[in-house]
This record gives sequence, structure tokens and C-alpha cells, in this order.
Amino acid sequence: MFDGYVFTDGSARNVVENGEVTGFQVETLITYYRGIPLSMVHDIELVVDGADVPRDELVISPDGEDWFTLAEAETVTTYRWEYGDPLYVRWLHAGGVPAGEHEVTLRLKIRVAYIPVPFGGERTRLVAV
Amino acid sequence: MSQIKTSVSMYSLQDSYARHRLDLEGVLQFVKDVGAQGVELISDQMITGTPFPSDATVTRWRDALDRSGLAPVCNDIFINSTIYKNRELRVAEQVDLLKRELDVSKRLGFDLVRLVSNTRADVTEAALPYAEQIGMAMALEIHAGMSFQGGLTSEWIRMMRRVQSENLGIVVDFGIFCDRHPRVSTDYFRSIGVTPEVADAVERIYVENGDTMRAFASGDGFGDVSFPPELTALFRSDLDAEFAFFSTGYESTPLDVLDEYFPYIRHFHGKFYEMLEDGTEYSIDYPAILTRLNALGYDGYISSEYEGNRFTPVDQPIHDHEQVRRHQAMLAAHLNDGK
Repeated sequence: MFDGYVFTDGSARNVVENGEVTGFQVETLITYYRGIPLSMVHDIELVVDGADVPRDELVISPDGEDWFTLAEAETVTTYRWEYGDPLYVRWLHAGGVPAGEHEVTLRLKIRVAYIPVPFGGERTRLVAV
Repeated sequence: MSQIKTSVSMYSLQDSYARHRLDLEGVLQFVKDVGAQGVELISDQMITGTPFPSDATVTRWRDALDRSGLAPVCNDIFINSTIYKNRELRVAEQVDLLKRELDVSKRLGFDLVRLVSNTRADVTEAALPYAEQIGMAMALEIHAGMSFQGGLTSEWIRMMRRVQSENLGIVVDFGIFCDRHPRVSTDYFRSIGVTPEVADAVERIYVENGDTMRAFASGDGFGDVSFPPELTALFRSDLDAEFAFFSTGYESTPLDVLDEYFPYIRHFHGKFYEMLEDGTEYSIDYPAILTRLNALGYDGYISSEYEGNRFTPVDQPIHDHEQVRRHQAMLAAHLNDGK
């Protein structure tokens, strides 16, 4: 139901910092109809060319400036992921992904008020880097 | 002349907002242009920084609201009781969050909030003195799948009847009056691979029992369902069970509940899933509801709340503008039914 908001088209790219490729990044809208504190992001999975990215190599940011590991995000209650704004999901991986086409899957689960089952969505895209 | 007024819930336009077809001002202008007198907000959706928006954000909202001439009918709020992964917030913590939501709703110009289904009675009652002090009314949403028979909802209603405060009431969502299971939901689940025999069986069970909620759910919205063996025998994947459970989010409740609860009703969500070209809603008999409300003398608002958006196949356009336009036109055409 919210799959159409997962993994924004055209958002996949290698991250360049100080002339070095330090990771690979995608963006997504929320699988819900309102903004939430970042701590309500329940889980995120990134799969690149069939291989699961290790959970502790993923960081997320609601503004592209301050980044949190998924474990850290569990206590981040003062940063909001606003409805209609992207969440940045970055794989900290020196060299990023090699140039060329890749199959990338993003899975997202968030907690919602009063419903014990997290909402989620997923999307696979073929992306050219 | 009917005293009923119409509003639009900004929920209806969530896709236009998320994909930047409309900004906040654009949403309000659209609501005005389709002929509504009022507007309903979900502050968590379109007011950035909620529950502590900046003064500039609040001013932007109030200026746009003033320019639109729309009445601020209701703000839909949530208590993030699941804000931590490892535990649910305790009552005192939830009361604090609820008070913040009341504060921000007041700043945004509202005097009524909708509490989401399954909001706890004890949390609400503990915040009531504060709500009374600042002049806010709190109304629990009576939503299909979690309506009158649900555990937390019935507990809340017992509290409301006992306390008898002007600042407590209910918001009835028309999704409890679904004579037919929304076919847009069935079509969506078919498009993502639900077993066709399961789709057919769920539709059939809905017809045979009035709805599927009473056939196999608890009414608490928590997924503790018991599907009949003839249905589970058809399941081929988790998606089949998900669809069957999802079908319990619609109810076919007799309109007599409107009579019973009328003194407590503060507002209505005019839920709709699919407005047809002939001006009818596929699942919900609006003329019958409006006739009953006019007989009762209802003089508040009905908000257009479009939920067909979520059943639009991935990458297909969501026709939220056209659907809201048709819904407001239908309400206008039937507003005096029974008068």
C-alpha cells in the first residue's frame, strides 16, 4: 500500500567526500501518512546485487547532515522524519558500488501509534551508477 | 435546509502533498475551490516540526487558513506510544504527549482534536482537566475494524459516558457503514499477487456475513483473527492472510448507532474509497446516512476522507483531486436528503 513511496527514483548514487568515494546512498519517502520521530524507524534493509548490506554499515539521516546508525536511531526522538521529505539511507562502504548497473532493494519498516505490527514497504530498482 | 456542513480532510490530498503537486497553501486553496466550508488537518502530516512547530510555521499555516476562509474543523492527532523500540510508553508519559498535541492544535487554531482509535481511556481522562482549561475537545475516532465492539474503544466510551464532559465525544468514520467490501482494495491486492480464490472467498464471506470483521476478527485491530478453515485452506502465502485480515478494516454497522450515540458525536469522517462517475460511492450509501443525520438534526461537519489513494497500483497516478471533487459534489447534492 505504501510501496510506491519506497526508494525514490533517481536517488541512488555513490557518495563522494573530500574526493573519496565513501559510500552508496538512496532516498525514500515514508511508508505512512504522517511524519514521525526518527526513533520510530523500526528497521531498514538494503540489498545490493543480491547481497544484504550488514546492518551496522547502514546510517540514516532525516536532513542529510546528521547521521545515525540504526542502533543509534532507536533513541533519536528529537529529529523528525517529516512527511513528504526524504530519508537518506547510506551504506558506509569505501569505494561505493562499482560503475555500471546494479539491482538494489530497499526495505523499510516503521512503528505506528497503537498498532503493534510495524508498517512497511519495499522496492527493487535497477540503477545505473 | 440541512444544517450539515462539509469539510475536506487534508488526509485526502496526502499524495499530492508528498509528491509536491500541492504545497500547504495549495491544499487549502484546493479544498476551498471544491466548495467545502471547513478543513481538517493532520498536524503530523503537513505542519513541520509538530508538536513544536516554529512560530514561523504556525504563522504560515494561520495566514493560509485565513486567506482560504475555511473553518478549522478538527486536527487529527496521535500519541506516539511506540516511540521507543524496547517498550511502550507508560500512562503518565502518554498524558504528557497528549497535552503537547492539545497545545499545538490550539496554536494552529483548532478547538477539536480527533484521537486515533485505540487511544487509552485512562490517558484521555488524565488529560481532560488540561483540555477543559485550554478549551479543547477530544473526540475518539470510531473506525472500522476497531469500532464499538473493540476492547479499548468500548472502555473509552464507558469512560466518556461516566465522565459526561463537554470536552469529550466521538468522531464516527463512515468506514463502519460499508455495505460492500471496497473493490479497489481487492483489485490492489490482486495486482500484488493475492491468490484469486482467496480474493473471491473474502468478497463472498463479506456478502454472506454483512462484513468480514464479525466473521473473523476481534474488533481490536490487532491482528488476532481466526479465519474459517475453508478460507485458510485457500491460503498460498502471507499476502493472502494479510488481505483477509485487511478486509476486517471495513464494517457494515446498522445506522441505528447514529441514534444511540448522537449526543456524543462531534464530527464525521466521510470516508470514501471510490467515487463512481454516477456520483455514488462504491461501498457506502451516503444518501441513507445523510437522510438519517438530517432526521437527527446534525448541524456539524462531514469531512471528505479519501482512502482509495493507498489502493492505487504502484507507479499509477492517484486521482485524489478528481475523487475529492466528486465526493464534495455528491455531499452537496444530497445534503438536504430527508429534509
